[in-house]
Amino acid sequence: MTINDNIAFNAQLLIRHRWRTTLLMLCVAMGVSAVVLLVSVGESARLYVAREFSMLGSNLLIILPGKKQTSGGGIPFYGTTTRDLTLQDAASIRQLSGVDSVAPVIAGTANASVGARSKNVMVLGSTLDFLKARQLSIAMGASLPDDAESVSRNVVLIGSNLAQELFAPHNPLGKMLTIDDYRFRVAGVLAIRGESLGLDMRDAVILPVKTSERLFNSFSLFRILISLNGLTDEKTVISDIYALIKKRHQGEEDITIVTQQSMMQAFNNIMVTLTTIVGLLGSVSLVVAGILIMNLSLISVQQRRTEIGLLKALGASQHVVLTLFISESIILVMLASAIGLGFTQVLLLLANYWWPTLSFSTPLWAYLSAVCVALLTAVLFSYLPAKQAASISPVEALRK
Amino acid sequence: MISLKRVNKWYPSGDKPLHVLKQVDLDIAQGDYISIMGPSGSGKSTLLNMIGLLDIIDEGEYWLEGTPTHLLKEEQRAELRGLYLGFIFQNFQLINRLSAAENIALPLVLAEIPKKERNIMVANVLEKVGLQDRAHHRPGQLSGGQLQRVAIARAIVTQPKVILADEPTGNLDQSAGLDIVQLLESLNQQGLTLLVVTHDRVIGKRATRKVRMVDGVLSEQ
Amino acid sequence: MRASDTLSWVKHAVLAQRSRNFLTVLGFAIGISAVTLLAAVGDSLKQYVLSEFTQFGSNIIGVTPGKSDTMGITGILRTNRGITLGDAQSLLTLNEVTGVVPVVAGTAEIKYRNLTRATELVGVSHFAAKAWKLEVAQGQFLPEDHFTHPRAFVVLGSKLHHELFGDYTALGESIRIAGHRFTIVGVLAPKGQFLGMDLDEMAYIPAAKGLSMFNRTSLMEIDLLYSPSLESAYMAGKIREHLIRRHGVEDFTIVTQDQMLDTLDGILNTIRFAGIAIGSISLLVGSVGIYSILTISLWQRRNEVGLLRALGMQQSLLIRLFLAEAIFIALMGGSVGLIVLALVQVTLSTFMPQLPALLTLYSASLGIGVSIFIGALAGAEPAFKASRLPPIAALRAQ
Repeated sequence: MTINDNIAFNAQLLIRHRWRTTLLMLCVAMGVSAVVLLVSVGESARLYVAREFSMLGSNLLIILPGKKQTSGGGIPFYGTTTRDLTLQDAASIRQLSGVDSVAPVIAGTANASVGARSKNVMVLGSTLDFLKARQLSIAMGASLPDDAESVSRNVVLIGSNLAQELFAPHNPLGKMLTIDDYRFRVAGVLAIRGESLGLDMRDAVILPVKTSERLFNSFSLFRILISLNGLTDEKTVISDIYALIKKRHQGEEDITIVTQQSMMQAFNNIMVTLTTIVGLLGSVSLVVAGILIMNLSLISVQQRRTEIGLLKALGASQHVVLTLFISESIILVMLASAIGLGFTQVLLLLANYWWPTLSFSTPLWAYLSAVCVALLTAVLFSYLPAKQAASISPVEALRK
Repeated sequence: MISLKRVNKWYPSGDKPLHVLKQVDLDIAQGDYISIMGPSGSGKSTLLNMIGLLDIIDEGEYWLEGTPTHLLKEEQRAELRGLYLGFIFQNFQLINRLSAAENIALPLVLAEIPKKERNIMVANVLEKVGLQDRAHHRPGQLSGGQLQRVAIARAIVTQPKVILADEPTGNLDQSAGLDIVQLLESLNQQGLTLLVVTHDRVIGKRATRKVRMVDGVLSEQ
Repeated sequence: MRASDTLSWVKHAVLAQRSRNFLTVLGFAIGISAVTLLAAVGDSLKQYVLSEFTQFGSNIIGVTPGKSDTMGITGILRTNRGITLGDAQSLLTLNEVTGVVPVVAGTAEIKYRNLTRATELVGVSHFAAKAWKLEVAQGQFLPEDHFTHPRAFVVLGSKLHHELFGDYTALGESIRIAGHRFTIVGVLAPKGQFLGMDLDEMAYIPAAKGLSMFNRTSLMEIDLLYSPSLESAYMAGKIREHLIRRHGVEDFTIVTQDQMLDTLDGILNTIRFAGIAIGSISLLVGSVGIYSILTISLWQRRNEVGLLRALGMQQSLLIRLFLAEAIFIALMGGSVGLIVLALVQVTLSTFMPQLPALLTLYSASLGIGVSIFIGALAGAEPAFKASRLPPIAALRAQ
């Protein structure tokens, strides 16, 4: 039988048995849609975070104060140490080969107020290198001064929300802002970038790191962000930093260095595992749909005994009948998959409309594997009924 | 016992509904043996279905044991069926997954008669139709004649007043058919009213009252 | 129809079509397995997380510096408007407060002779033992010293103690932390892990010592114990009042155990719900299976339906019988699904004892209940349709 005839034969069959066709297609479409949707969401989330990470550059090291030799490993959560990590430490790291730029960070919370309006905000003291490393840009006005690490100037950058809440309807540039009893001049407003890996910059204040030392009356750094120039091997730089700090801190190696890569890798692994589990769970529904296909096909073969006997009597071989039945399932499943995939795309489109930041999409391999799994289901579960059909003898055509 | 007065029935069909029963009048007394004959499409099966309360008349009256069945709802008709009527069909209408005894017991199960009593009643009736040793056979293991005898046993197990047989010998060969008719007649002699629809002249002639349906009109011979 | 006859009838009817009903049962069983498995795992996860969090006792309220942070992470950041030892001390004056734990934590190097260990150091008060349910294995916990002028005592976690001293009882020995001498007064019993932090590797010193060691004036958190008969909301209000009087403004956040558990609960419930939703897809397909098979079966048994009506069976009984068939199939599927889960649980737990419960009493009853419900739902339409067939039409079918 030619493929065209095969399709034509099966098409009229599927149309004739509308109820059966609809039910089966509904089930398969549901299963396919569910699996592809789940996998798409998982992948989109993973890619979103991966993008965020990669925007921060790939040659990034983060130094946290504190070290744990405990069996659990992990990063020192509190970041408090007995000996401060200082700007001088940061400056000395800058001298190491392989280091491109160093951004020391002091982090705290304070009360920012303008006249009667006030708000509790996160305050970051850092340098231009920090803004570069975190891909933060200025929407209005100027950025931090070049000497942020050495001179304590009373200038600040404020986040977009803060500008709105404390200054609207006036332009914040050049105006004065009070933070915890100290007065500052607003030099610039950060561009609306919203969240960057958990740090909501819209309500933040950034000042020169030297100024923040004075503001919080402390020399203790929260983090040091280091970007590498690639000229020296990353591992070497890391061990160099450990050695340097150990020397500067009287033999205590009380820092932990985390690479951007390792963080991203860890997160990636988690997401992949989650997506796989969820995808597999969704696929179970396709197995159930397959069982239904087998069940309904077996009944259908029984009901069509006379018709099949007739086909045989007219000269169809076992192979032809087998192919015919399996292709019936394949056509049904392919159509249903198309519907399921289409439905998923509609859902994703709607999701993108409401939450544009996550930019949901379906990876190509998901499409392909969904179709393959569906096909496999069709063939696997219609094999038995098809075999039964193929073994019907032509004599059946004579029965009433 | 049964009284049909000016009964009319129509079947919907395209533009013009078919008038299948036209002004039918018929009185049946207890113990009557009536054959209903006529060409196919004449309405004889329809008539039987009406009397059997399987279908509703559109016009007229149907009195059964003093009850005006034409005024009854389906639930009440079902009750009457179980009470007074026994059916025998051309294609036996036995449930293939149940044994002969279980098939026969079905009306008793519906009447909520406990198992012990049921078994006794079924055994009695199996003897009457001569199938005691086939009690646990399935329909697939019985011959046509035996199947109809099981059907008859089922029809009489609740001791109905009337037996309605629609072409009882239609699927049987001549000798088996004769056996069945003789069995039915013996039941009639014991007091059961017997109505037989048949196209077989030989069988139809054996009845004490003969009714003929032509084109929806009933005439008694 | 009598009950025993009904059961017999339904059983016969379902078993008569063994192959198709077997497949239907199988499909439905997979669906029920999926849903109950995910429900049970969700339950177990919830239990595990909640028990981890409540291991510290329930009448605790946490105060952190800065505003609006439910998880108290802002304690780590620098601030000029912190919460002080003075605040902690003053809270003791409230009648309802039964214990105050000022908290400051970080990492430090602990030295004993030539052994050093960098680990987590937590500055607390003597109330910490009661508040955080810390069991002492040797010696005692920190003594009841003045918050602002405590003696230099330290209590070691069990693992930390073992690493520095082995099996030797170290009570009374001195260790150096960041150059300062501390005397060991106690060793804790093993406690395990909490959110990835090894509690047995920690060392506990008085908060005042911690503050000076970490160069801070502000505590990271103050945990308060209060009498169990009081409502958490009421306590939170009292504490808020008190601290506002001291600070002048509300530059702190108060979190009750209830609030934290509520937030957690919300998150965990969402996860559990999502899991069940995914499982439900399989269940839905399985249900469609029951519906379709029943519809086909009843269609093929039309003349049986007609016969029963001819024999005088009421429509309502007919509906009940076919509904019962559907429920029977669904129940079989549900039972098979649950039994398979139980078997898997038993076999797997011999290799992996920490396996969370795959089957709980709750999830099993959920499974059975859902089976019955879906059976009735899926069987309703076919049953009704079958019962409405006019008897003669049904009988005429071949």
